[in-house]
Amino acid sequence: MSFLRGFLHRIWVVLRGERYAHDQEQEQAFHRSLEAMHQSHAGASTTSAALSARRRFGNPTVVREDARRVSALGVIDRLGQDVRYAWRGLRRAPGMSVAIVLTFALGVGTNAAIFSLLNRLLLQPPGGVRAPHEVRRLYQRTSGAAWGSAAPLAHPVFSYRTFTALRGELSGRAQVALGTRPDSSTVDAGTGERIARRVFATAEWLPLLVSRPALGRFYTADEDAVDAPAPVAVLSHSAWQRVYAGESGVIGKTIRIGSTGYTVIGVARRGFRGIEVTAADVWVPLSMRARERPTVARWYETGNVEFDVIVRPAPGVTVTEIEARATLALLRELGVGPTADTIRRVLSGPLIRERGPVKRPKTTTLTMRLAAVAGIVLLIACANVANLLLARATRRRREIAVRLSLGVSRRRLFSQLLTESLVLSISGGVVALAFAWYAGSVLRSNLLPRVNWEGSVLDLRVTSLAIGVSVLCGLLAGLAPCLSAVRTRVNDALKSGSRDGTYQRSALRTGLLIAQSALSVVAVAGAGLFLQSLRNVQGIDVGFDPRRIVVGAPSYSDNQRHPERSEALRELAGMLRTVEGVEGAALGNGLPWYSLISMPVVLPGQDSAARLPSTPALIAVSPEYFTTTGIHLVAGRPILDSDREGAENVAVVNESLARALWPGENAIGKCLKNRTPANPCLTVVGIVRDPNPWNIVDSPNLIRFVPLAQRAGQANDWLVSAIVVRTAPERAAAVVTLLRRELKRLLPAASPEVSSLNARFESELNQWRLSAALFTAFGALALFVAAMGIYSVVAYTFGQRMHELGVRMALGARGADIVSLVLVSTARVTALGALLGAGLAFAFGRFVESLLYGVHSRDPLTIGAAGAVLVVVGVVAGLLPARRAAGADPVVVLRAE
Amino acid sequence: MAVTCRWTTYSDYLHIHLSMNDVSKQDLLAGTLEMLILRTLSVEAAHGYAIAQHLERLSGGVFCVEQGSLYPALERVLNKGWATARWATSPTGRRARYYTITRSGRRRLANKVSEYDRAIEAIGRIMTQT
Repeated sequence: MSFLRGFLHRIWVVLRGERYAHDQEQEQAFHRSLEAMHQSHAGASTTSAALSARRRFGNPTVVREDARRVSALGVIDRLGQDVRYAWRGLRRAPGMSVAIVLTFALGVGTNAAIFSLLNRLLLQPPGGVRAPHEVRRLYQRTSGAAWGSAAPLAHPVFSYRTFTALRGELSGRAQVALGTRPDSSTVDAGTGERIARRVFATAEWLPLLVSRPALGRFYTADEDAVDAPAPVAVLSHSAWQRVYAGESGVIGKTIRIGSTGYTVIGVARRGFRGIEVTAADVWVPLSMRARERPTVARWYETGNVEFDVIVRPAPGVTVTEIEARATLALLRELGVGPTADTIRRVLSGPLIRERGPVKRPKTTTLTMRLAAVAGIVLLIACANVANLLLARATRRRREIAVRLSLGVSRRRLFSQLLTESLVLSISGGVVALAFAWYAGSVLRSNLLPRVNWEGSVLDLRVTSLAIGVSVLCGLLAGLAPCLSAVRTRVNDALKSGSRDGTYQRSALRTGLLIAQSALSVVAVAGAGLFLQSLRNVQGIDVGFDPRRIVVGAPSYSDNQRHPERSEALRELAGMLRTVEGVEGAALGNGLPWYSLISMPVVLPGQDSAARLPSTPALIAVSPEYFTTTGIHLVAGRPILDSDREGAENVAVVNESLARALWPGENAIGKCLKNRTPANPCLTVVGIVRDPNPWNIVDSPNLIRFVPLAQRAGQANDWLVSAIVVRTAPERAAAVVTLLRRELKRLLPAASPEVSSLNARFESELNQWRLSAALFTAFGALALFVAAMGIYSVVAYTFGQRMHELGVRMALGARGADIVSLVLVSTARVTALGALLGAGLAFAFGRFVESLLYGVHSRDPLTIGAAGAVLVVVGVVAGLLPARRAAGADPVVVLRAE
Repeated sequence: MAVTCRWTTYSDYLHIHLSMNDVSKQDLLAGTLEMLILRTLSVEAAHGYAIAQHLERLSGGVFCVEQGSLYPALERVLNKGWATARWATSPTGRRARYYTITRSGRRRLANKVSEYDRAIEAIGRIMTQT
């Protein structure tokens, strides 16, 4: 009851607002008048009575403040008042307010944008999965020796055989499923071809992840029988919308994926796009892989480790138990005793791949380093704002002193000033959200184009982070100025006046300036390192001409080798050579950057394969292959038309293989054999340059080339697998279309796979360009914000010192002396910052080491240059205020006293 | 008997006020002052000045109610719902704000009084023990 009455009273007070304050005013005036009356009855004069009444009543401001404190909504009411007050104050200095808001916006916005990426990569579990934190991804830990690592390595890959062993062992304790990562396939639902991402998975896969389909059903274990799989497919909700416009009659329709027709049996629930950051569009039985890719016949019996395995432990079963049992099953399946191999284990990790016990992909590391640089930009922005607010507080010393002497409580003053900086920072946060929305979208589509970005950049997490960081920065930046304002000594401040040049060197301000200079040097040094990496990568000679190569291969579903198919390709190659814009066409069953088959090499006199760092690749090629691909001959002769069946068996090796097999000797004329000692000798007739096997930044591997026309003891007849076309980079797209059309016409039974290595080259180079561009942008941003800080502090400081400068000029100092005075002091501070920053860059360089190429993370030249850039920028930022100071008329300055 | 109350000067007051921390002020006054206000109002409805006068007079000048504390205290009493306030004409013909105790205010007062009695009794027993 009393609570209700009190509550009603509070509501009443709020509703009355200012009128209630007026009521209180009246009530207290009444009190004072009675008091005065009382005193004058006691004999005092009227004026002294009134004064005494005033005295007894106390300081009206304080009383009103106290009444406010107990007033209706207490904190909220006061906050509202503070905010209104802050708003008025900020409107009076619009230039500075805008500068601060923008600084905050840049700092916070950059961070929010980067965080939105990290959020998707590292924090957010895949969408649509039921209880995603229960699902574990399994990893196989092995000795790292095979990958040249001393420490054991974990990989999220298993063979199908291991999977069946795990499934048996864990039955009843967990659901286990196996699948592939999304591939890129051509899909045709009768409305034209498009690219879709397909996952091959066992029947357990979808039920483990999402329990129930949105439409139709999931496939069963029978439909995934290893020898007789059913061609059925489950579509993702978004693919269903895209391809079939969401019509419910989709069940039972046929969709062609690659060269096989599948029956659509179900649609997965909305929002579920698989468990990778790359979205999946369609799921088909794992065993259909054999139908699609004949080269993997009897795949279920091999020990090839190539599949992802996920588990969902049953309620009450611990992850430790799952790992232990899975390890047992793995070792048993491999025929190893549990004590014989203590390294090999099954580990588990969260569904989010980047958080598993494996090495992070490069883009994730890059994003995390970018986040660090974004943090640096934020720190600089904070330091900057703190400096601006400090300057502002100093300028307001008199105002604050006056208010203090009029009775405002220091606590109240403190909260008002802090509110001011919070209003600024939160406004900055709101602007930052707009900036983050834009920057985040740009980053999404450029940095990680293949990631399935669902939802807006600004989800709840990103938005709350941006606002939270803003508030934190506002508090941090506002604290020092608030404290210094509250500590104002009323008498000193009032006595000294504002014009007498009370310039105080502030250690805090200088410290902030040095700190932000140092941080910007770190950011600029990072940009320098990435720019150099890009330059180095662009200068790499990959050993052949990927930019000029288009490669096409027919793939058949029956896995048969018919001579007429090879013949058709040979014809096609001949035809293509006559097409305008085609500079060459060759045949080969392998190509760097595309497909390489390895086969052991045996030297005469040895009964086993030569000991080499890796098994050399074997590529059977037509005579035009070297000129077409641009792999240069170093010594001897290339493969010729005359190298056919019946002639001497020959081979061409690359430099690495020549060095590895015959170190210090001339390889020409030597003999090597394929696979077993019983096979005939291949005489080395030529040596070619090393092409980088898989990407731009790669170490060459061992390759030998043999003539397509000779079958010197290889186990397989040569299946001409690829046609390689050389063309100008700008014609690549046209050649891709042409090649696809011709392959379809000549080999209607096959599905053609055509790609341009130029596109690969560009996309790979783009990663380097992008990291260089992003680090440069962030470095420039840091530098810009720091320059703004230097400018504002110098301008402010020398604005305060105008009197002193006026005296100097009156005593004969010239403009140039004043300019050099300002610049020297600026240069001193920035040089100190540059030195400190160089130290920091040196110390933290190793964090980007793995992302660089051809430049050491502690490159003294780069770091030194970054420091120099900062000093130059600092001096330029100081020049403007310096000139203004020098241009001032001493008479005017001194008269202003 | 003429009531006199010694007052500090304005500047002293300002000094004291600024150096006194708010917690001790509230500890000292919040509970006691509110209890005294309720006790005064339990006799009859009164305006702020009358309450102050009443307290000063009855305490024989020992309690100098700092008027600056009186109104915040009254506001707190209103916020708790122990009293209500309304504007009415005072005997001098001017409009004044009268505070009236509520039933819950009386309950609160009764609790406070018995609490106080127990404390005084206990202290008395200790002090008279020789």
